[in-house]
Amino acid sequence: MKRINWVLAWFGLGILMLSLASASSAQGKKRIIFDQDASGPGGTDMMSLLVLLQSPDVEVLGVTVVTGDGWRDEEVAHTLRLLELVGRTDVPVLKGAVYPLVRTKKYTELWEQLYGKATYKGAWRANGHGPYEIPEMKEGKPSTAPSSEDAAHFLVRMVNEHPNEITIYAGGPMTNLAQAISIDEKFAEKTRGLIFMGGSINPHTEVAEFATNPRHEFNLWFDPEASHIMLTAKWPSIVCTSVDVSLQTKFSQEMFDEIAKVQTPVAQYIAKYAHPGRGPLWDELSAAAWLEPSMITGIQKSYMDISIDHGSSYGDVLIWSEKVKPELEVRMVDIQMTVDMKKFGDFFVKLMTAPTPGAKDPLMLK
Amino acid sequence: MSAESTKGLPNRRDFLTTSAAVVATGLAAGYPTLAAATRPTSPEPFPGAADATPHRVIIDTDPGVDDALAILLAFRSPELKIEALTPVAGNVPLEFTLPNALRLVEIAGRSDVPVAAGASAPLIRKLVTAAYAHGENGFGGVEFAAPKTKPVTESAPELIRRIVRASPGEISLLVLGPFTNIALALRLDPGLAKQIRRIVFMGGSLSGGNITPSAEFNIYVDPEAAHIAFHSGIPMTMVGLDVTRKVQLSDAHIKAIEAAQNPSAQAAGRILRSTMNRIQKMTPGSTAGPTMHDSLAASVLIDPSILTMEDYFIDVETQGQLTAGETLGYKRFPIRRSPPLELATTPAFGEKQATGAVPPASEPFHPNAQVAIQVDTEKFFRLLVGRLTA
Repeated sequence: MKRINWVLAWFGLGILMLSLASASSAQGKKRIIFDQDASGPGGTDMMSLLVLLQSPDVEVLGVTVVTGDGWRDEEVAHTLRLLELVGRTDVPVLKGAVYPLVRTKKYTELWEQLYGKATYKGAWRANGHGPYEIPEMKEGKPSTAPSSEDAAHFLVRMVNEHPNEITIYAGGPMTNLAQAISIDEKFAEKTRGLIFMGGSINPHTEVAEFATNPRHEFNLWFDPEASHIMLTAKWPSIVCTSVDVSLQTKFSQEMFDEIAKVQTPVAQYIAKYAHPGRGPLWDELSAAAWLEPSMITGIQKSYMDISIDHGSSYGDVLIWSEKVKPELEVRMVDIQMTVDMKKFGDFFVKLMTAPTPGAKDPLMLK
Repeated sequence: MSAESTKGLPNRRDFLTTSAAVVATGLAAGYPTLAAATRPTSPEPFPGAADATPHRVIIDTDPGVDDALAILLAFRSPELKIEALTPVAGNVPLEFTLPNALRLVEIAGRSDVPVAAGASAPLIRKLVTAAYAHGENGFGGVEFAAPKTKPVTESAPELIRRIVRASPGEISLLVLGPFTNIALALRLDPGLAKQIRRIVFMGGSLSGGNITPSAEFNIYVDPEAAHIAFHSGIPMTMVGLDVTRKVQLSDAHIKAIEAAQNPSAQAAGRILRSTMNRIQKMTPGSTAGPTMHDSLAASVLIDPSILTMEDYFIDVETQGQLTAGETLGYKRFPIRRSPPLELATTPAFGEKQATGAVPPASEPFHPNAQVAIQVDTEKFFRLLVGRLTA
C-alpha cells in the first residue's frame, strides 16, 4: 500500500515536472533548430525556413548554416537578409561548417574520373565561386550579422539547456550535426528527435540526379562521413523526407498566384524571389510534415546508413529491413514515401499568406 | 643519387629501397625532384637558451603513462609556457584521460592551466584503447586522489581555437594522442590552420607500426583526423616510432626519478615503477622499461638538438582494410597512389597512361613535415631525468 503511494507520488511529481518543462518553453511552443544549406533568395532552402517561422506554434531557436547548395558565407547572408525582410531578426543565425569532414572537392573530381560524374555538386558546381565570396544579392545585402558562436557549439549548448525539448531539422549536408555529436557524444539523445530532408530510396523518375543512381542524393552524399555519424547517433526518433516523396511535390503556378496576391512581407518575398514550376518543394515538405504529419500518406520503416566505402558507392544510401539488417548498430528511420499533395499545397499556401508571428519592422514592403 | 638519399637513415625497412626505385622512375619520367627535401634539417629554430621568450604550447593528450611524463617534463621546463591541456580519448577513454589531465596539473602545481574536455570518440571510427599498455586507468594502475580542479566549460576544440585566435602565429600544439580534437578545431574554423605556429606530435612511423604491422597507435585510432591535420598546411614535426622506440627507460633512470623529492618526480616514479612491473610480468626477464614516446616529442620543443630531422610529405592511409593509420613518407614528386582498378580512357592528370590518381606533374612538391630520424638517447634521458629530479 505504502509502496503504491510512493509510485503515485513519483507519478504526480513526474506530471508536475513535465508541465513545468512545457511551461518553461515560450508559450508552450514546439522548439526547433533549423540546420540548413541556406542558398537563396527564394527557393527551397529559404521557403522551408518560412514554413517554420510562419507557424504560430513553433519557436525557431536558431538557424545553423552549412555549406551544401551554396557556400556557408553566402548562405549566411541570404538567411540574415530573409530574416530582415520578414522582420524576424530576433532569430540567431550561426555559422557552421565550410567544408565536409573528409570529402574534398579535389578528391571528388578524382572520384568522378573513375566512377562517373555527379550530376549536382552544390557549392562545387562547375561555374561556382570561392568559398568566402558572396556574389551580388538580388534581395540586397544584410545589415545584421551572424552570432559569434559556431553552429556546432550552439547546437550542443541549446540541447543541454533544454534537454529532450528540441527537434533538430536538417535540410542540408550533416556536417554541423556530426561536429555537435563529436563535441558531445550524448547530443542526439538530448534532442527530441531529428527530421531531415535527404536520401533516396527507390524513386521512379527521369530526373537526372536519380535516374542512373537512385540511391545517390546530394545532402547525404556531400559529406558521407557526417551522414554516417548522423544516422548512427542515438536520436529518440529519425524522420526522413526522401527524394521519393519530395518528387511528388510541386510548386504550382496556382499556389504561387494565390500567395503572390497577398500583401504581406513573406508573401511578397515569395512573389519576388521564388519561382513556380522549377522543382519539388524538397525542404518545405520536411518542415510542413513536422507541423502536420497527416499530409504524409505512406511511411516506410527501414534501417538506414550511408556507404563510406570510398569506391563507386561512396555516399550512397543503404537501407535494410528487419530481416536482412547487418549485425551493427544501425538505426530505424521513418522514411516518408507518399504525400497528399493537395493537403500539403493548401497547408503551405495558408501558412505563406498568414501574418508572420512576432514580426518586427520587416523591410520587405518598405 | 638514390644511394645518397638513403644515407644516414639506419633502421628503415623496405620503404626506403622502394622509395629509391620510385625516384629513378620519377626522374626518367621527367618529374621535378626537390633536392632540399632530401637533406636532413634541424627543426625550426625553437627558442632555446639564447631566447628568453618561452614557446607557447597547448598540449593535446590522452594520459597515458608516457603522456604523464611528457606533461610533467613540459611543466618543469622554462623554455615552454603551457597554455592549456586538452584531453582526448585514446590510450584510455575520456572518462580517465580527463581526470588524469586534471590530476597532472595539480601534481605539477599548475591548476591555473585550463583543462578542457575533448572528444570521447574518434571522428568516424569506434574507439580502440591501449589499456593493455597503460593500465585500465591510464596511469599503469597507480591510483591518485580524485582531482579537485574542474575542467573549463569550453570544449577542447573551442579552447584551442580561442587561445590560437588570441595570439595568431604564436601557439604551437603538442599532440600526444589521436588527432580528433585538432581535426574538430580545424573543421570548426577553417581559418585556424594559418594561425597555428606548428604541430609537434608523437605518432606515425616510417619503419613499421606498433598496434598493427603498419600503423602507430595514435594515428591508427583516428586516421581521418590525422589526415585532416596533415593536409591542413600547418607545419608539422613528427616524432614517430622511428625514434621513440629507442628511448626505453632503464631501472637506474626510474630509481633516480624515485629518489627525487618533488611531487612531479614522486608521481612519475610511482607510474613508471608500476609500468615497469607490468612489463616484467608480461615479458619476464626484460630489462627495458617504459618507452618514453610522448616525452621525446615534448623534448624537441625544449632542446631541438636531441633529434635529427628530415623533410617529408607525410600522408595517412585511411582506406586500407589492414593498413588504416599507416603513415607514408614521400620525399619527392610524384605522390603516387594505388593503381586504378579500371583503365581510364582519358589519361588522368598528365600521365601517359592511367597509373593511379596522382596530381599533375607541374604541381610543386611541398614537404608538410619534418620527421625525426635519429635520436641522441643519452641527451634525452639527461634532459628528462634531470628536469624531473631538479
